[in-house]
Amino acid sequence: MLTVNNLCASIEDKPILNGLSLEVKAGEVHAVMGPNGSGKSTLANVLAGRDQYEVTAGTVTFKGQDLLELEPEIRAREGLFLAFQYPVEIPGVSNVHMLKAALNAMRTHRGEKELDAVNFLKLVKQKAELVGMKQEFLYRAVNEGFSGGEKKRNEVLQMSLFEPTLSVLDETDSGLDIDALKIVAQGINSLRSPQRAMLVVTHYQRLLDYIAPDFVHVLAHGKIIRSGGKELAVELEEHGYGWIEEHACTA
Amino acid sequence: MNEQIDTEEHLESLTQREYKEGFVTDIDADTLPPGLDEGIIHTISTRKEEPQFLLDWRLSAYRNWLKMEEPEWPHLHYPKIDFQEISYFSAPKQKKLLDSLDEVDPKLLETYEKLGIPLDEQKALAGVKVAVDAVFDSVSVATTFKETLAEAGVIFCPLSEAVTDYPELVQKYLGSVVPPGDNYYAALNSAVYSEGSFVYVPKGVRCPMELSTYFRINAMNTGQFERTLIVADEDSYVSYLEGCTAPMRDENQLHAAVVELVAMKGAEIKYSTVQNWYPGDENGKGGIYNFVTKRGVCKGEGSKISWTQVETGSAITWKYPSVVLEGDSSVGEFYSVALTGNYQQADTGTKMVHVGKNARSTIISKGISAGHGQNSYRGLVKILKGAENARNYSQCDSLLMGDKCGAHTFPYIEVKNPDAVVEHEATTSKISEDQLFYCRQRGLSEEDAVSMIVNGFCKEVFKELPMEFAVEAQKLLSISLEGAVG
Amino acid sequence: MDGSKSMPAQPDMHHDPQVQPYLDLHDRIGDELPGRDIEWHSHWRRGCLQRFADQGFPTARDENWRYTPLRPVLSKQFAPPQKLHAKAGWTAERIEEVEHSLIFVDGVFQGSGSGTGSPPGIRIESIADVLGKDPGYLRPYLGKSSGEAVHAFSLINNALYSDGLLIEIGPEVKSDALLELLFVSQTAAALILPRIVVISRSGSSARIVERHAGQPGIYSLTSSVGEIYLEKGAYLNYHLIESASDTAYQVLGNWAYLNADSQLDFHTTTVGGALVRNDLVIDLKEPGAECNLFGAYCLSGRQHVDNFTTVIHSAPHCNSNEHYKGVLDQRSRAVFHGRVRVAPDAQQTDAQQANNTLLLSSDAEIDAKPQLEIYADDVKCSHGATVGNLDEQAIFYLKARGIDRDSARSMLIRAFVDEILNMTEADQIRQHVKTLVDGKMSSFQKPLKSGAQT
Repeated sequence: MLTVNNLCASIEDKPILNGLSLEVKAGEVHAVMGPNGSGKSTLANVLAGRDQYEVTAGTVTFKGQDLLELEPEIRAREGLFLAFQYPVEIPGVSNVHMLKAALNAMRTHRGEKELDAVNFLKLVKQKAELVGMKQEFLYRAVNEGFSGGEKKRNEVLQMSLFEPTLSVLDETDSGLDIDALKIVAQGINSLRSPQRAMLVVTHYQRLLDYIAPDFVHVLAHGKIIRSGGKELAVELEEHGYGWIEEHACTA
Repeated sequence: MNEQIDTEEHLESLTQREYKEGFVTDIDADTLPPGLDEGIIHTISTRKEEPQFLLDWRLSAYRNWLKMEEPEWPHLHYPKIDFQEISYFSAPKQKKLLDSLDEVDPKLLETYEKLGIPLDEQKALAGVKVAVDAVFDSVSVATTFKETLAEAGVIFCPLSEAVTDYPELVQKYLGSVVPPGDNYYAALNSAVYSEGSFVYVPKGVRCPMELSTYFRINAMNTGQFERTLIVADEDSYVSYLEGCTAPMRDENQLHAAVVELVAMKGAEIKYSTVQNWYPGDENGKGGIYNFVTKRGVCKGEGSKISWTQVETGSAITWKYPSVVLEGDSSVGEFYSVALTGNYQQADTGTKMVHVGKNARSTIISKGISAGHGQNSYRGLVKILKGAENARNYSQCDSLLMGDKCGAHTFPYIEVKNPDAVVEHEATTSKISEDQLFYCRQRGLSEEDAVSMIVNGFCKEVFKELPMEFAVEAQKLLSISLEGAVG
Repeated sequence: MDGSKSMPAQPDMHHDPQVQPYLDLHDRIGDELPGRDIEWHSHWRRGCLQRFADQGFPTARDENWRYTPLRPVLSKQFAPPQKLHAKAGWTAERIEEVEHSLIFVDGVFQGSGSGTGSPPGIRIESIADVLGKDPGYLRPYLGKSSGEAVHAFSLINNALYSDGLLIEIGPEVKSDALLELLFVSQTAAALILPRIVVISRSGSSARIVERHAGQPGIYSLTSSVGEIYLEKGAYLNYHLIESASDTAYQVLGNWAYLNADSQLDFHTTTVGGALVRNDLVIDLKEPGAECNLFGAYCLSGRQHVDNFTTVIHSAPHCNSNEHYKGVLDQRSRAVFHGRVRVAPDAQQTDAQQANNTLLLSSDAEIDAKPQLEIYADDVKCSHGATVGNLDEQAIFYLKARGIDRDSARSMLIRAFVDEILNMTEADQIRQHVKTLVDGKMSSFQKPLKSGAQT
């Protein structure tokens, strides 16, 4: 589904990713871990097409297409979803309004009929319940005045509404208390299916207690320096990132 | 790098848009030759069969005007206007005294049809019945729902008709809020004004429907100088909407209007404007010069005046809808969205003058600058010495789209009473890249994302508009932005 | 041409009775002023005199003066004092621990009052001497303030100043010394024209305090011009403390030009003066420049204080931050004019501004005119202005804790002003301005409506 080959990217001429390669198949859940500044968020943002990042080398193929050629909105309509680390506030634009416009843009892209207001509301209310979001949040401006946890929950709501083929979660666990974490994890788990894949970017192993990944990758200095199963995350938790970096250097 | 250029091109195309109301109606018109002197004023007054008091009033305003100077303080740049090149009166030829719509020239009906303004009472505007006074160049061509309104005791008619039918009301209130010598353009308007609407809502009456005047400039080289007077007697309520359009022409045309509102004890006037005069083309050619004086007086205790404006048209906009809060516990509000694209310039804002005790005023201004547009907010909050417990809250936000435009804020705050609480906030920024990216990551095109974010930015103002017009305003804004993000 | 005698041909006869005395004064003393035989300098002076003669004093119709009527100033006559009364009976109080104090009496430099010589690495020299020794040295600096916010008073200074100081902080000099410029006025009807040029060479850092004080009951007119240049990476901390007598008229102008990565922190504290106008113009000329402007004003009686600030973002990536707060009692009046201009190419600008005023009396007045003029799109600019009285709930809270109303009020007023005063880093200066504010507040009248809310 997603093939990243030797990806190099920089921001303001400062290289962040230095030849990253990764293969994600349908049905798989991959966790990307690494210390601060290792390039985790850059990877997530480059995949989504944020233009502050310049791709200097490498290729990314998504569902057989050259992902890097696509505009951000086309990537989204093709089923690539980014759960933002810091979801932005958009004053005056109500959550439902944005969600409906977005969902219908995706449906139109797929050649499906747009959902009318009634059916859309039914669907979104059902999804909100699933992620434990109060209905009033649907009518408030996008993320405006939401707490950190509410913003993250809103991201998960959108994910379950859009049902993306590939979900990229950028530190969705950061800043969450344990209850919120469980709800977010539950939302993520409910989306797991043989047709979909997930890329979970995280600093801590905490979230992985609730979402068992199929693969764990460790990122340092813009490269994957080690890959393994979910036991790698546990090892990391015990020894810290220093251990793995040393390991990588001597290896 | 390429990305950058793309975005700029994108924005550029967004700010250029088509002006759908730019057609010309081919109709025989009776137009006075260009030029202004006392003879012209006599002619206008005679044509309109005005009483002597009005002619005298016009002449004194004219003499005043001659002594005044065009204001230079606005943040606006335009060539000097030659007032002798303008024609001060133009009327489509038609039989006098229309009894019904059947007698209105079909071309005029068609014009309003095209503009989406129904003059047929069977048809409703955006699903809601609205009484319309349609002003074409210098004359009113039709006023709808007069009978329905009359049953409620509401007077809604062209000002010229009011002069004949209700001279005592007109004489009492005309110029009582904006005196003929108030400012340069108000003086000019007082001398040559040709038409406008008159509204009187009697004591205790809640006007049964929205009232609306639709102004249309058609004739070439003609100025439009309308004058609106609304009097809401004690404990009454009226909501009034004003719309305006003009054909696309290469020449600049002058529009200098005066609007006066009087709210007596407990009365409320809600005045909404969707201003869509022809803004000129993408090179800044043509467009309306819009110099307007709008002011309301909250005369009685507990009265309220609320101005809401959506300004997307005109090459030059100069207007400051104001409220003088004379009555104790009166309320003044100003909600504004002003968009300047291409080479449009706007210097607009409000004045809130607190005279009475416990009065409150609110100012919400949203400026959007795109292309080479220059957008200035200019406002005055004045708390006089006797205005105990005055409260004012002002918020002025500006949004910049593209690096050739400008956004400026010139608030004036004058406080002479220690009990006053006055708060003013202003911000200026561009559409945040983060917001744009967020929306695009959710599958929205850049154009839709910009339109959505800008509409969100204006939300606080749009929600003050009557429902059916809020929808219109949003559409207008989206059309105006079309091209700005192409 | 014969430089010494043919100083400005008298500008065309001007009959403005307010302007004429200054032209006459020029006729009398023009030939004795420094720099008269330096071509660029006399040319500049001539131009300023002509401009002053042409435009005269600002009127209420002048947008930049609409809230500051000049009648009281213009109805009086002022002239530079003929001879100094060497020992007047009055001296300004000292600030503890100020090592280097430069004292001016009625505008004339008296030498160092305390401390010895100049702080290391800092050149302090009379402008007349510099002009005499090296006529071209000051040319890039003196008289550059000819654009923004220049008015009759600064033009008079330009045309007629008789001496002043050059303060030059050498490259990379990091000076901790507090350098004080103390302006004392003690002669009635004195026209005082202080002139200062500060050059902070690249990478330097320094602290300057400019203080104005005067003998009570003596009315005088001070019109100062300070020109401040910060070269690349320089830092300057500047305090303007106005504790002139309540009969003094002061028009104090400072123009600062900031080059790349330099920073100016400018603090203004005003408690004295009958009519005070503070013009402060900051031009952020190169990327990375930053200015922080803090102002506090505490006024009573019939004092009138106009803080007129202009911040120009000429280059990208500059920050400006401005916060003025004031308390007005009795019949005092304050004006805050805060203009921020962001030039077309000044992208990535961050400009913040706030003005808060407490009105304590029904006869006091505040006129605020913050303004943003923005011609670049990638900016974050904001301004806020508030006017109000003390928070009655806070007063009630303090009363509920056993504090009497007057003390509660004083406490809240102090807290309000302290937000600005606490931005002062130097302990001794902070202490000094707090003492001044305390002294001022003790003169405030008792609350008008005491007991109304009990």
